[in-house]
Amino acid sequence: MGESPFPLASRQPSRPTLYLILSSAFILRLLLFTRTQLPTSLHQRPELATPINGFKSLLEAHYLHNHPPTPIQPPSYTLSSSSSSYSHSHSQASVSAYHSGTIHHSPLLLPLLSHPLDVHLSSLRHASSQEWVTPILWSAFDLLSAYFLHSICTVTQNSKLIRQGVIWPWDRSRSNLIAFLYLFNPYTLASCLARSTSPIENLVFLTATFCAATARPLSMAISLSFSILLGLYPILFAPLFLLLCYRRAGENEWEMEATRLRHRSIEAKGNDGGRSRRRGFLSDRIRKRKRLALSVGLVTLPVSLVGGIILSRAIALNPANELSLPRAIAASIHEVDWRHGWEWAERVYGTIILASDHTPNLGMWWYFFMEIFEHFRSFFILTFNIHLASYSLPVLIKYRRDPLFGLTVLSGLVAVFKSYPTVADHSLFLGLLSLHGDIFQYMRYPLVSSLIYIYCTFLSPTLHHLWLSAGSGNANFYYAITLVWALGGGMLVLDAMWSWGRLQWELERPTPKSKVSNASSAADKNGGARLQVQDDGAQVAANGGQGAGGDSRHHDDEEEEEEEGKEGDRGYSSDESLRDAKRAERELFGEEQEEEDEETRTKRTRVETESANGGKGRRKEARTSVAEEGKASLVEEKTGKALGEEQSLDLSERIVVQI
Amino acid sequence: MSKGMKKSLLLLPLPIFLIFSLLLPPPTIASLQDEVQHHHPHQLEESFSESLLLRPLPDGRLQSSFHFTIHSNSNSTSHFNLLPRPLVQLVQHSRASEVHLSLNAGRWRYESWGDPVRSFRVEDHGQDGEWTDQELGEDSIASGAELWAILDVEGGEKATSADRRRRNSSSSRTGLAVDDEEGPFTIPSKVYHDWKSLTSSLAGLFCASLDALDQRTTVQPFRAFRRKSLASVPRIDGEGRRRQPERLLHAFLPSESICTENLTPFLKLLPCKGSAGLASLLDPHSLFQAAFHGMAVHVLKKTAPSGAEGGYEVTMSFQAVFSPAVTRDISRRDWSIRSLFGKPLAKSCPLAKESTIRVMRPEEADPGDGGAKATAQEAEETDSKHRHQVEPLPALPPWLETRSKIGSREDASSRIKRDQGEDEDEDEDAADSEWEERNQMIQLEWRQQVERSPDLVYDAKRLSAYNGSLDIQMTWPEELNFEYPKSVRPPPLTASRILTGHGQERGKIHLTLRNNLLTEDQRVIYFEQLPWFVKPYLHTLRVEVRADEFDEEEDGLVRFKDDLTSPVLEKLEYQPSVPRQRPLEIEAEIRLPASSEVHLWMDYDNEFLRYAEHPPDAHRGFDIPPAIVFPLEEPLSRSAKGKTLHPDRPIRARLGLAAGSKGRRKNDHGTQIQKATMKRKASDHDHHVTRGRIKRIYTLPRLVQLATPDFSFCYMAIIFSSTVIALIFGSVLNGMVRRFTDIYI
Repeated sequence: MGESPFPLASRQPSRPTLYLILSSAFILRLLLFTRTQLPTSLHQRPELATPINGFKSLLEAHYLHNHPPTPIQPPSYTLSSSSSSYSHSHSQASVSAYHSGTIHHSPLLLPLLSHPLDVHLSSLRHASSQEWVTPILWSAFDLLSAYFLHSICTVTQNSKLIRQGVIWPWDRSRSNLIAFLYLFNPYTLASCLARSTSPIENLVFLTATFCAATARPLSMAISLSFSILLGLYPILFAPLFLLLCYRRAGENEWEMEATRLRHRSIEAKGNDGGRSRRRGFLSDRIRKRKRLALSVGLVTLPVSLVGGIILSRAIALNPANELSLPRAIAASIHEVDWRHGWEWAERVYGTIILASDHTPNLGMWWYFFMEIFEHFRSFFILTFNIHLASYSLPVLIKYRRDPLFGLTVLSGLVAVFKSYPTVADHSLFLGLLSLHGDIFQYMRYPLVSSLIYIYCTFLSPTLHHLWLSAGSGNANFYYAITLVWALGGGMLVLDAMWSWGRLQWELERPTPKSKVSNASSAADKNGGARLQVQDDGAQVAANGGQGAGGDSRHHDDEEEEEEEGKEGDRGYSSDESLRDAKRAERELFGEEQEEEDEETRTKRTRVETESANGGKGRRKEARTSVAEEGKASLVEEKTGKALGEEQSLDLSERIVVQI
Repeated sequence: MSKGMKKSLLLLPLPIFLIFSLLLPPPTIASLQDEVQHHHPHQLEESFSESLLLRPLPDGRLQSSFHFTIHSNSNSTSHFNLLPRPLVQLVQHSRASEVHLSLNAGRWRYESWGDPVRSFRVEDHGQDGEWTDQELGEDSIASGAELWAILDVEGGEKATSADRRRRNSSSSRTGLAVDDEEGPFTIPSKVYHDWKSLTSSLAGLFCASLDALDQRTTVQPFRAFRRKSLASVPRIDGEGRRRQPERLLHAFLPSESICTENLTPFLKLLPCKGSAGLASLLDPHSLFQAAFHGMAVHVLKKTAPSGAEGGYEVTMSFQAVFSPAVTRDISRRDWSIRSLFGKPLAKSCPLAKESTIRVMRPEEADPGDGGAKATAQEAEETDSKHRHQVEPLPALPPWLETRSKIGSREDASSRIKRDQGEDEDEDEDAADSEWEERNQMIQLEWRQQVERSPDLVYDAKRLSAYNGSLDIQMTWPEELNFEYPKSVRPPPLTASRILTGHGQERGKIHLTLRNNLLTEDQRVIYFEQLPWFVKPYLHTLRVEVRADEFDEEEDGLVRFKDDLTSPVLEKLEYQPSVPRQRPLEIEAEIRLPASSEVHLWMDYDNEFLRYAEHPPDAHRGFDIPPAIVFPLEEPLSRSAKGKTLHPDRPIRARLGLAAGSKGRRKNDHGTQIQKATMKRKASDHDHHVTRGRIKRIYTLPRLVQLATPDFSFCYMAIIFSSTVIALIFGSVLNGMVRRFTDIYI
């Protein structure tokens, strides 16, 4: 967050708490790694490690890469043998380790993890010694993921609040809570202990999300292409990432402007009108920013993908690292015909697409393709792949206004339907879902889906044991539990989708718009937008002051989940604020606007007070129109009163966006 | 009777004689050779020789191994007489220069039976008393079927030009067209085509399921197998690599067993079929009762020194290990040909140039404390209980017999005497006593020689010497009950491979190699060929040496520390497996320190097979073919070691590594000597193991349990999975198109 638009440290969630969470998670992981037998007992669990991402196959890939097979006849396309100018050490040609059908890890991982894997291999040889490199590394992956989740949450919340004009009264523990939930999620913890590559994939995915959320198209494209090269499935997220980056670029600009103006208003009045004029119209800048972000993303994503593929190929064709990396890249481009040297792609991505390895996992593919009739195989492989790919576009369209939620939904669907899923995919989905705390209150059956998750977590090892070790069950036992996994995951995704829609309804409910416009009839359209922003600030303040007693409404229809408990009061306000912020944003970003002058600003302040009252009245009406909540109106009455009483208090914490 | 009739009667025997003369072997071949001479630039030389080895084993069993060898210098597809036409023609068709097929059932116990092959020095009596080495016994004893062949890649010219093209294309930066099919591990398609034609036709010929040998089971070993015409032991340096124009393919079919339907076509390939000669003893009823039985066929295309093709050599062998001491009620190890094969040898094959039965005297096992009983003779002297008798003893060989019969008056019935003795009627009386004496001396001498010799050789072509039928018996008259020896002299090298672990997901391969030599290192190649459904993790390969402990004073042996600490696994080459495409092949060069065990462990995962890939009896498990251990070289300076051995002058365990290993040299100066507890006497050193070179040691095939899907669940799995997917997909679609709006009622 180097170029953070939020200069005030007070806006960040509490740092000590975050450090406490991170360090406790780190220590817990190290303790589990070194003091328990969990890593050895977990690293081959089918729920945690598939052939595609297991630690053992990663070690094997590393080993085979360093001890390449001996060809029967030297192939025509090795780097070392083909050209004398590049071969130095090895007289005998060695071929790519990816000729082996047992390794499925991306070549990009091999140089990155070379040293830790070496250390681990040597510690395996000398059974007594305990190595610390991989435990620290894998814990660090998780910590970084959690930190990125934390940052994504901070960024999105901040942007929301800036648009609302409120900074102080939001719950600072929210981001920390998300980091905590991700780090202490048993699924994340277990995947980390199993040392599968899923934590790496999750980390890269979250990095890409973070970069998109902070509108950094270049780093987003690079991390996204890395993520795609690692796991292939992130390619389905690419449109969503681009959209997120596109939107956030505009919002970011707007937020920076808002912050700048606020500063100007707080610190020094006047003096800087000239500068703001020189910066040009805000809407122009926003448009420019958005277009720039999109075009940078659109250009760099394919470029970095191709670059990554070339790099992977060079690494794969350079077994035992005979050549230095730049040399290997040059040699792989110049020396090796483009039709050769793609075994790695077949092993890494072909396996994911064709599901040729039927080792049991959480997904729905392995048993299906174990049992499918041979002449239907290709058809169903096509169907399964298309089915999963077909979610990408609808999600993009449906959630175009909230691409982060689109990412969440799609990650849930991918976790359910991908060919080699693990619980790490579910932990990523849950982590992303926790960013959307405001939808939890609308969930219909969180109890059922969480119980299904618990049920599957305990039953799948049991049934796996019954089938493969005890021999008292057959394959259908484990198959049945994978179906339940799919149902549970799917149910959570569906529930999230439903509650998001419900939230949108709450926000976009056809409020009597005429009133608003009446109240602000003096002002122009833009003024209306301001009014609502102002209104929300008041509302938030009111809620914050009112405390937990006033917002029973948020708990009436669901179990208390960890997030909601702490978040209820703020969630409400953010709902409302989100609604208005969205509208403001729509109006702001949708239409051409001019930068406002000092004079109009003084007018605004006058209107604000009026609109506060008008807003209150509107709110009352809106509440009563909700059929299902009888008592909500009462609550609202109270809120209104409380607002009046505590206005003086609130004023200290209210910061009004005055543009 | 008219004169004409008399004439015709006189002439009558002539055609009959001619007809019979055609049937008789030597003139037949000669006459045919004369015929062939017109067509061929060189003479057609063919010979058929057969031999049977009967070797009592230390544990009371008996190894019998039949060998039928046909040599021919014919290269044509049809101009030969003795070569088995169906076999040679299919080998020619598949352009193979060597084919080795073996089918075995049962387990060869190397620990107690030793090497199946015994080599003998044979005097070529016809030609100036030359000595040649003859090897009897079959060393291809892998359970199930084993097939390996050397196939020509194509005409030599084409292959080299293709090579050149490939080399050009890869070196030039433009990148010309390259054969796309040929990866570094794939079998060239033409070779594979030939291989398939070979396996299919061999399957048809021998009624075995060799047809199942495809890419998924076939490997191309680097150095493990070598051309039989070259040195049969692979060398350490990398020169064993095959040249381009030919490929060696090797495949196992461990689940295949051998039975009558394989023996019948086998017999049909022999010149005398199964009706005469040693082959008449191959009676399926008795052979397939044996504890171990198997057959092997080797076809070699010989190359003349000039480089031209020099005809074919076909060797067919049948080997069985009987257990007379075990199968009978009274535990006696007496045997006779009749008891083994159900009948004595009554007919000799007239087409055979040579037909011998070689009976080895029993090598008595070490009775506990050992001692210096190197030969069977000494064993007999020390322990009369184990004295055995052989009946009948070999008759006098023809060249001795002729001499003896010249002088023998009493046996004047033979025509030889009539032919040759007529002239000597004059000095009959004088010569009589002289010849008599001499005859007796010869007989005595022969008898003594036979008694002394470790093996008895019978000429099965001269059955007349044994009253028309040969029934060799070996009895132990003073042994009432055969006592199984408590300790059998182990071979210098033993190997075993087991699969450990539980569950159907994964397991561990555990290979144990033991060097029984006290003073010499041995080096072996461990050849493993794992089918694709077993995925070993090479990074888990763990090697451990467990050395026997010596005491310096008592054993006169010193072990240097670096003998154990320097790396044991010296080289590891492998060809990776690809699921459903090709197996994994590992060739590891392992040094076995003297008198120690080397253990190798390797984890593997089982692949999960599709329902259609399981055989009908899926729950039986899948066979993992045997691993093979190839000893690399003769243990060095064996005889010298035994002599220098002295209690107070310790010799050190030989550091059998090739010179040039750096770590070793360094440690030599370190002189870290490990002392240890003792138990053995120095005098045991050369006698505690059986000597003899083992070409290869097969471990047992193993069964691996693979998890099975529910075979009756196909439809249900499809229906259930599809339902769940459709359910979620439909609901997602629902969520996508749904909008939440107020409805005012």
